[in-house]
Amino acid sequence: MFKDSVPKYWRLRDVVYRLKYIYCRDCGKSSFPPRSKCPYCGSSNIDHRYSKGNGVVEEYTVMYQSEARYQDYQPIVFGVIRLDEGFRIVAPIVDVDPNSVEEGMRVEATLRRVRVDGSTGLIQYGIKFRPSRR
Amino acid sequence: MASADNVGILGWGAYIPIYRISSDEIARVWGFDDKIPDSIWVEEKAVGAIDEDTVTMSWEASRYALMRSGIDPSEIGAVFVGTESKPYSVKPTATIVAEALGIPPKKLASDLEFACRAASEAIRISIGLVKSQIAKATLVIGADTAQGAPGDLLEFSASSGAAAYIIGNPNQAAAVIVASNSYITDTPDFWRRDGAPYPEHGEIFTGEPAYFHHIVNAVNGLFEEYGFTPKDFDYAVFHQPNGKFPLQVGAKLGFDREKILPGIVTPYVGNTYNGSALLGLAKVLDIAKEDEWILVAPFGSGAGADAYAIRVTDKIEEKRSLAPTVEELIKRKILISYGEYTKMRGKIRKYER
Repeated sequence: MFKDSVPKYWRLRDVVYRLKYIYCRDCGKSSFPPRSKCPYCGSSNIDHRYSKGNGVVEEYTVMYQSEARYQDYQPIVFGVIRLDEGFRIVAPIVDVDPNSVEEGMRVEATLRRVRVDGSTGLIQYGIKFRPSRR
Repeated sequence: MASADNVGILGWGAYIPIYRISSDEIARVWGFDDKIPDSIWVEEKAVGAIDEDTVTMSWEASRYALMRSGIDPSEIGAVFVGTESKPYSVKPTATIVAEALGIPPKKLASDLEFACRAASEAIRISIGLVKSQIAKATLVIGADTAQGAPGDLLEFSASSGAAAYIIGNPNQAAAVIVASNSYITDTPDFWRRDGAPYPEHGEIFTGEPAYFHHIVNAVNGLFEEYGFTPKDFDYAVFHQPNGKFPLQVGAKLGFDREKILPGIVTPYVGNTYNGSALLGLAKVLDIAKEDEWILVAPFGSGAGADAYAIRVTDKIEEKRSLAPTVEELIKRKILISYGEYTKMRGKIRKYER
């Protein structure tokens, strides 16, 4: 039924598998997703780096209704997560009772299925987060 | 005593999903005799979440193995995933896992299938690759989201989990594989036809001519070739289709229960198939001390078994705390109902809208 873009998934694999981000050597800020210039100061003097995947929940919401292909994952907790490297990302938080999520909670990256393209298409993987174990 | 292999375990990692279903709940739903869970000694089994599969669990266990190994992913020359629950029929699990771990393209990578024993075959292949210096180090993963048909006895045990090992230079190792042996025949004890969602098993045929015969011969072959006896080992880890079989096969081979119990995982997380014996080994590495010896004997239907003699080194202590232990992962759990389990494991037939 759905046919996601295979080239797009393939091009973004470093970003969705490993949280590749940019670090600006001029203003010292990190940002995600990676791009050719720093979004804060416009500098091209940037490093491409990979996050260790540890962060803190700044805000969150719980989604009880979603489009058909995400319904199996409901309820879905979405968090605004600030990674220890400084940038923020919106991502699902899994392995958790939605009632126990709270702002300030430490989380860590986990690789999970993100999208399954019908019964014959690609299984797309990416980083979600779960409460930190240590 | 000959030293045939002399290849190191640089790091080990385990992964057990957080969700558990109790055997009592399965027995209640299907109307089984409530003595069955005790008779096979399976109390609970781990259930992969709806967004977990062999790729994701392999990644988790491998991350922990890499943390303990102390090596950079670029030093990995081969990635092997032993599994009988590949997310794709055609497309390797190993390439996805390697990419997500940041292991560069200059490597070997493949999925191996030999029921529950494929990852063990990958360890033996790795011994050859490392000894011949074709690979500096390899990543071996045993992972499964094991399938059991609803209402089948197999449903009590078939579970989800993974174990991963970095095999490489013995001088950097937490433990050294000193010697190994294999015993393989054509024995139709358990199978799943192409396209079939659930496996078939030969009922009691899975025991004596399959599990016991192959493990006993693999271990006795190791003993005969290298001069070991059960007294040489501080721990014995066997494949664990349930909690009882490893104790029984250990007794046949002359091992005390006290040497087997530290490596037992299946009563608490179910049979993770390719993860089974390797999770047991990980649990023992979590507690073993320098110069202790471990016997490991994985088994896979079809059928075959391996036996490894492993000596623990002085580096085990510094590596142990770098990742969660198996015991920590066992204790971290959320109990779920049979309904939640069927949803998570895709046992509810839905029609695309």
